[in-house]
Amino acid sequence: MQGMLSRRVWLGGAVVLTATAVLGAATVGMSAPRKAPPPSPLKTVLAQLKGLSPAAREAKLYSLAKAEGTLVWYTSLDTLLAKQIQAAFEAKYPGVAVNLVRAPSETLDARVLSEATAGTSGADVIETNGPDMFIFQHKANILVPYRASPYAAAVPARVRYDTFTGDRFNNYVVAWNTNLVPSGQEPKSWEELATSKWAGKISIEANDIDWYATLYQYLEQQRLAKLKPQPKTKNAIAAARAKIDGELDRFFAAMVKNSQIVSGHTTQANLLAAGQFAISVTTYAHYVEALQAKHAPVAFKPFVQPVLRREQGIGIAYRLQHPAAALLFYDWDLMKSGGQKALLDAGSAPTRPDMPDAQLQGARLVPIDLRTIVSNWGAWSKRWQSLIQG
Amino acid sequence: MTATLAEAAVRTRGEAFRRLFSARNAIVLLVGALIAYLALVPLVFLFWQTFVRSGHLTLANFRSAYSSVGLGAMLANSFAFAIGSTVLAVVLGTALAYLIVRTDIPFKPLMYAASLVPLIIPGVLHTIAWIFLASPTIGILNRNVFDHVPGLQGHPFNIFSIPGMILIEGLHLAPLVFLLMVASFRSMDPSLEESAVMSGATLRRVFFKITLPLARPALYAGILIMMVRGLESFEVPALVGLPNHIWVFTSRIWTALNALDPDYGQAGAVAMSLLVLTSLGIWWHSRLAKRARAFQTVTGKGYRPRPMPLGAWKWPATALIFVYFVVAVVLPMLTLAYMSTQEFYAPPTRETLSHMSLVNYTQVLHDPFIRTTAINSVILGLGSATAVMLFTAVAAWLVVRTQLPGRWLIDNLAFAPLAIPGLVLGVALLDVYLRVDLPLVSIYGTLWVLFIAYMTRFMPYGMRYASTSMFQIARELEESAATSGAGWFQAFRRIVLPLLVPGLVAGWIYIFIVSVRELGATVVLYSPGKETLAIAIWEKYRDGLFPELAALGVLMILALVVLVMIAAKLGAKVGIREA
Repeated sequence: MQGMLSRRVWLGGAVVLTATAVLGAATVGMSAPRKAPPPSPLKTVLAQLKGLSPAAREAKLYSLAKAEGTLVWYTSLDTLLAKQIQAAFEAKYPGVAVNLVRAPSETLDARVLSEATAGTSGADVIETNGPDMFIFQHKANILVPYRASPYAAAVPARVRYDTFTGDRFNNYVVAWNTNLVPSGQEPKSWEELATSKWAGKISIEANDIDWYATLYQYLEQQRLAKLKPQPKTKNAIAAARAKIDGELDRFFAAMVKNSQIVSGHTTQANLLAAGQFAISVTTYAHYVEALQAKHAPVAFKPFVQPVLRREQGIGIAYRLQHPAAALLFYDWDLMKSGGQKALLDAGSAPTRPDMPDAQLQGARLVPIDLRTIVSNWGAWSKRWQSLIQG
Repeated sequence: MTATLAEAAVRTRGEAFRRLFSARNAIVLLVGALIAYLALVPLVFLFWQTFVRSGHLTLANFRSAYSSVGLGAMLANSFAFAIGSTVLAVVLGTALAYLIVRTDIPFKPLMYAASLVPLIIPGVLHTIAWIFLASPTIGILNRNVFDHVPGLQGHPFNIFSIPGMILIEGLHLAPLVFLLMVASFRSMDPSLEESAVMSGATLRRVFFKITLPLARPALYAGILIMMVRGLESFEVPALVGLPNHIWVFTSRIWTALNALDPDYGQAGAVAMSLLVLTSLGIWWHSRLAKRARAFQTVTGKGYRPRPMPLGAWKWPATALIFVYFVVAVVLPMLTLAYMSTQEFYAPPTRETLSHMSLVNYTQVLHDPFIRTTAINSVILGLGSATAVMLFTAVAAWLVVRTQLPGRWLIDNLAFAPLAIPGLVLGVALLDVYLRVDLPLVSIYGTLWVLFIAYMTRFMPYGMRYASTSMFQIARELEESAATSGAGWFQAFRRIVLPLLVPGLVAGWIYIFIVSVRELGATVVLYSPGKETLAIAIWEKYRDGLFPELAALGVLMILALVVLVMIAAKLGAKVGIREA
């Protein structure tokens, strides 16, 4: 029977195989994007807005956006929150539907970067972690440089960037399960978390490199400032710093060794509520607040100081389909009565200084400095990985 | 004279031409090209990503992947986990299959279903359920059972350990071995066993000396697939290993991909090592093919299989299956069911039990998003299961039956995607189909990209199911068909295919289920409006909505059970009668 299969068939098959291989290689080997970047897509819309008052601008944008009908919003905001924001926007602007693409930030990053490499974009507006937005800013043609929203001026200059604006804060708090940590037993300091008292009872999220870098530098500065007498010479300062860094490395290693490692902050907060661990070291405050609203036994006060704070940013995608709707959404997100209120209502912390999160009163807030941390990202990331994989 | 030669040449050319374009060759070529396309595109991408950095060949990615800390422990963990779960799954799966197919165990259909149901529970659900069952702090077993056992100190079950990981993975994979072994035991000529019994051999002796050796192709395929699955498993190491600092290959890959600036090269380097390991496995397995005839027991001879009498072992064996069912299905399902009635998860106490509600179910059932995902999952499951089983049946015939030079290549190509972890496959396909559209259909942003991913990912399983069954069908059946004047297509359709049906149906069911469960590749490839049920569960998990996730999980498992029962019934009608 096998004799009936002629050699030619095999040859033909071989040709097909080779062709497929070559095609595959050619396909993936193309490192140049398929399409050249288009000119700024916002130009025509922005031209029509010139000189308009905020109210007239909003009306004009709304009418243009209604003609577009929809916008695609990529966000790493958790689903419940994102849906509330979506509903608030759609209620304010009937006829402009928000197509919500919610994904964990890592998934969102992979998607945005892949789309950019291929020269396409599914998003009109992107809203995610500050460091991620900052990295997008450094890659060509992912986000449109845009600083012209009249509402951006109300947020602190520190959270305004060329291609995105901080619209909310994620606040890292140390939180605990009140059934497992009775009142009076709460952790009081960072140092305490590295002691054997909490061995196996605390939790750290797997990807909090910005938290690690900021806390490390903060504690380093604190300890340097406390030295008596203060080192004067360059060499003495370097020696003192090296000694402190050695202590800090041991401290972080001990704290990580005490920890259960969990991926995802919402999951971490919910496992805390369930009692899987007694303390979660890197929790976002708004998730704890949401759980408290369901009467879950979780708390983060009195604070383990300081509370690290990082801005989340909103930006406009370069290769977008719905420029007017994107601009409308962007403006609205930063408006006091718009997205900022919706975020506050949903339990998040808006960036507008006149809308503080009451839950964070009394916290010593230390900003995570995206600009310096992202420029050393590779080094911090490596140190973090060896810490948790060691 | 010259005219005759020319005529002959024309005739030969015409003949060759006709032969070249016969139905058989067309199908063979098409299947070969499809397999090559599915396997090579992501593989080539993986190679390119791992070995090429800014246009130059480099080993830098391997250096950075393997110079990191904790490498020795990572390797040891990976193998301990993979080998442990393989042993557990193979022993359990084989025992269950033997008892149900070849012995006179009571309640057979029930037992058959009991052995299959764990397969239906999505990995992420099963893993979460076990965390809530056997976590040392909040596990129901520890808190609600062992705390009340007098004389027992502390919490004996710690799921966050390698034995815990093995337990979860092994229990979850056993049904896959079960399916492979059922197909093999069913299509096995029992006359050898019967002669042994008649010659006075004990049941045990018959099992180890006759049955098991005859089932070797399926057994080896089972071991091979389990090892690979163990090395490739994602949910268990991520959810159960990671908290206790137990790192394995996939968690390394995942961490490299999960970073803000994903290191695809390093992920590729680790994935490449997995590929080498699985290729070794394939090489070992392919040596069996050379001795294939030794395992052929479905022959032209008529046979009437008779179940082995278990005698005194009848009830202990029944109890064994029952215990397996309770541990692998009932306990996790009860945990999910309990969890689905709560507002947030807390271990059961009198208080939580007095606050049960079905509100999560209402929410899930009224969610239009869930409805869309369910429809997408069913479309993808039906599509990929049918497509994969059809083309792997042809491919298996090609590999097992023909002497086509290089058929090992098709075998290897069809098997290669097994080594590519879902996440890596997802990233590879994303980058490919963002740049290219196939003629006529647009790929990215549609269900097609998921369809291609699933066909690629599950082709190895289809291939194993089909070729394992093919090994056992004696060539004489086809040869007699050919002698009686049947063409290749006719013989394939009328003889080979129907005999293959038990194996193909088993494969179809398996691929349907794993398609519905698939997460690793989907999570990278899905687009808005094209989400699947597994994505919905994943999203709920990432949002910490454990109770809603549990409600969705319970509904999904019930629906899958019904679908699988229908499929099994239909399959039994289409195929030859069950052994």
